[in-house]
Amino acid sequence: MKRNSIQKFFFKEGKLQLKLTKEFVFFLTISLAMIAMIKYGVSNQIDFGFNSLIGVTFPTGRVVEVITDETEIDETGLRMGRQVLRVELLTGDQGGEVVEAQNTLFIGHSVHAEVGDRLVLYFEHFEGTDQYFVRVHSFERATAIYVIVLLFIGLLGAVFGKAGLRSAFGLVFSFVVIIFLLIPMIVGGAPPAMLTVGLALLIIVVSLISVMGFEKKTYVSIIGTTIGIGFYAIAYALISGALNISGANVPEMASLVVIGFNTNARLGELLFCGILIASLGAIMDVSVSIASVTAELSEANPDAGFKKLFRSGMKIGRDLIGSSSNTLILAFTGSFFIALILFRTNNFAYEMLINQVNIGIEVLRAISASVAMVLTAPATAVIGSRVYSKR
Amino acid sequence: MINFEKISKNGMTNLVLAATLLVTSFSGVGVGTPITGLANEEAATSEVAEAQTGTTIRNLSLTPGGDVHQMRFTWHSGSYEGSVRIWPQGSPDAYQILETTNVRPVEVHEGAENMGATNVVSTRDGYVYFLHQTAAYDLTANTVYEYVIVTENATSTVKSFRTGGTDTFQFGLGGDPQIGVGGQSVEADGLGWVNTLEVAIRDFDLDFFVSVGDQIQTMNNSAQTSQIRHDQLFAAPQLSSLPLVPVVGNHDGSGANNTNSRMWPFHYNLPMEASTVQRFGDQFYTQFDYYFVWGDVLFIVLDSNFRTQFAGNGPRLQFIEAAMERHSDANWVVAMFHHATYPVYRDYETNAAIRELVHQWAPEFERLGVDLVLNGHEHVYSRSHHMLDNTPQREQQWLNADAEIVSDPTGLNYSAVLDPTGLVHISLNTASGSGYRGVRRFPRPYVAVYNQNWRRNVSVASVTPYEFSIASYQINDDGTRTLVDLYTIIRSDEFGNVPAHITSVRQAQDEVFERVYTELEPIEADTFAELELPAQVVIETDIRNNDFLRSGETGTNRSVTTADFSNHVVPLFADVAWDLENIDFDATLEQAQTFTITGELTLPAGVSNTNNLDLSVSMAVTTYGEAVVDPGPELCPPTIPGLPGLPVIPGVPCLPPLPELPSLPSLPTLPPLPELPSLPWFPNLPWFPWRNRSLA
Repeated sequence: MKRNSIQKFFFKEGKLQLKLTKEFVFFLTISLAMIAMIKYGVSNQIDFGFNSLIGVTFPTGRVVEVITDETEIDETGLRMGRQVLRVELLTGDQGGEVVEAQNTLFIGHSVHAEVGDRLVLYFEHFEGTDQYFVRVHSFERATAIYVIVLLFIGLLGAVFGKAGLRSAFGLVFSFVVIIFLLIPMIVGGAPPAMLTVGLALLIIVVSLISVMGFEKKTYVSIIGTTIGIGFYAIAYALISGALNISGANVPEMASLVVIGFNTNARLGELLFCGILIASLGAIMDVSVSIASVTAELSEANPDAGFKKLFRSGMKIGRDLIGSSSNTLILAFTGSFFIALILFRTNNFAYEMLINQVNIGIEVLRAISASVAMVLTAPATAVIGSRVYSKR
Repeated sequence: MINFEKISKNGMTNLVLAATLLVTSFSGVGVGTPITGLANEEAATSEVAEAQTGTTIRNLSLTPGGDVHQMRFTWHSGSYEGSVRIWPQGSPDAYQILETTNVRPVEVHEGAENMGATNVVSTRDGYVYFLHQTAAYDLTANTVYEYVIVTENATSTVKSFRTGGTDTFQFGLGGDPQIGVGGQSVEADGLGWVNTLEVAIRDFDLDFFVSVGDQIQTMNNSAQTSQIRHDQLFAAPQLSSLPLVPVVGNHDGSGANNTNSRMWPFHYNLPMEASTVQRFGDQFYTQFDYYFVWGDVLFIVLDSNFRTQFAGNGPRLQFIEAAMERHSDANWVVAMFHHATYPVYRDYETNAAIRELVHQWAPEFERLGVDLVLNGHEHVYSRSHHMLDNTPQREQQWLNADAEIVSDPTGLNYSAVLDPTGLVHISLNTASGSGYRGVRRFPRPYVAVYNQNWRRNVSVASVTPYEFSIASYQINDDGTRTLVDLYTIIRSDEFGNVPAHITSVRQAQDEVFERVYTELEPIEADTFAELELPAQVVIETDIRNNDFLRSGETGTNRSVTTADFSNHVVPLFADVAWDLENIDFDATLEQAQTFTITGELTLPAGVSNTNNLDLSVSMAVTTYGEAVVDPGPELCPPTIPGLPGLPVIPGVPCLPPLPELPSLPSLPTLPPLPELPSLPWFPNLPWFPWRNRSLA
């Protein structure tokens, strides 16, 4: 498919011809921008000077032999015990060497190795000697992850063709922006909230344009999403004020504070940023749905006026919100699932639980994002109807 | 209303920009305030600094050495000259002078402007202070020494300390003073720390005090703030007579540019038997592993910021093995490091530091036969089960109040264990009150006890050749103490039995006698001489009457406590002297006599009778005198099988035994239920070439 577009772009009647469409320029610019961002993110590492793993590498290895296996499944259903393995290293400086590795199985580390398994090892070489200490860190998952991601993109392409690949492009861009631009800049001291909002806009613009192209409905949904972000900020301010929660209450604050001493990062705003990124997709979802539908409606019904378009848009929105609000709430509940089980089994007092900070943070997450989603629908409907109505 | 039609593409852009600005201006509202962690500590200087004369002596502290004949001194002084004049108490003429060597200005390396700098000198009120360190190497064990610090033109007041060397002693423990972490002001942290030491010394007779890491919270934003925090720590006057055992924590040095713990050598004087294993390529940083001996106990202190070079016969492990080899006659081996291997605040599964400790440190300690591990870092009190291969060993030889071995599969109901299997890890709460953490990881399989009452904690360990016990107390706002947990490891004696005299040396010195715990059942014997009167009884004091764990406050993120430990009695024996003279017993009578025998309790050391209770016990005794033993009445054959027969009444025939009842018919067995098919949630599809290896 890509080949076809490239052919179409570059070749016309057998002759090489560059078609500088808006789309081509767009994709080229964004791709170059991504490369630049990756370079920036990778190179701009602040050295906190506290590398507790000096001298330790994590090579991949393949199990050649299980020397001893003293494991058994205990009453909880988990396999516990100890193994000693002979592993052939596949990567790193010692590639090809065969070493002995320890493997202790316990809660949270249930890696039961068999011959032929690919494992990632914790490899420590004592300087000045030829001694080393090797233990099993985990199963090797990296290759599988790459394959799965590529297959997913392939699925997108197979099911939706060009549009699928374009949305994959948008996904990759979002990912690159967050990992290589947002995080390094936050750690470097940029104001997190404003930066996240700005980069969220960038993500929105690029994602929406890459899927929908340079059309009116794209602009409508961009504006709708932006307004949605505004609603999110207001909702966040109101709810966090009412619940007396700020970014300072997150459980990871103890570790974050240490970073705060070494940089000028402002850590209280990170909760705002995290929830914004999590809900961005859902807000975009609502906005795009309504903008698309409004565009289609006006195409099917060229005489439709503002009020008709708006009413139809809101009807769609009504159906949409039913499932969209479930999306967010259920997504947050899903991630909270194990904790819910623990709550139930520990017979904690209800009054204690409901007032706890982490429950409050989850409520803040779910509700502020949902409020933004709910209010994005009429906002986008208004703008879309305005843009597409002839009167 | 905006007319969208008339707006051109540029207008669209303008609109987008306007919307962006609108949104970003909103996003500043209500968002959390920036956390920088700085408290108002610049004003601390006035509290800590004395009048600056250039000869002032400050930050004086003692550190135990590799064995009991050693004591190491550290202080900061405005003068370049300095020495210690030390003599045994009572013999001031037998003094020795210890000169300080390698005197250099105290340096501070933290601070954004000092990153990478090597000689940045700290000043207090504009004065430069010099580091003075020296040590005495040939002290006599178990002796009180007095000393003065002599500087250019001043001599300090006389101070004293006591060397170790007995096999029975007590020492104090505190976790994470972490002065300056931000929970309260730096001065409040310092005052909390000083008060904790005061309370500990007031109530106990301590040989030294261990601080399990994070003595201060280093700051990178300002060069001098770390120095101020150290000053608060060493402002405690008790440290001139109570040796401080420092353990390096993750906040004792910052991370920027490998300055980690570079300030450490300017404040603590580690024993010569410190490991000099260095991190790769960093000429400034030496790992702070060391050991020292006190009495019969070998203490191994490690730097848990770095968990490498240990397992697999790494150089640090070799250092420890050499230490244990050299002191193989030690009765107890205690390992101390900052990070808790079995936490109740942090994440056991995913926290990298904890995973490395679990994989690489715990198995080695278990193999070496370490008796106890002491940690901090969590700012919560917790005690794990005895762990072996990461499995809680709940079933142990638990001792009950009568010093009998009992079984307890939960591992939660008893506080004294005999010859345990596995290694127990105890993690301490903060000693200065600088910051507390809630118990966040719900009761874990490895945790036996946890507590958070949002009060400063101090622990006291008591050591005898047969017992090692740790009592942890919270210090209430009025200065009284409440027990949080008490745990005792007991060694069997050379015959493999429970030691005969489990003493109360571990207990608080104000433990108050309340009642006798042993139920003195009536005893009987055939003759007076054969009476086995108990030589000891178990007594109860006010300490053991309380529930060990109390509910803490409830509120946001304040979750606490669990069990009721009201039967947590550790045997505490008192000798009984029975009065065999004034008894209502006639040795000439040839029949059974029952009389009461009284005895007088001797309360063991450490228990006082503040309520002036009666210390007498009495017991009913039946004995038959010297003569005939009554054979008892004649009995018929038993009527009901299993019960003794009725006595023979002359003239009345015996009842015949009851006939056997016929056995009931057995119920018919049910036919076996048909096997239900398994639900097809995860079918073992033939084309599914691999299975999920994370499942068992």
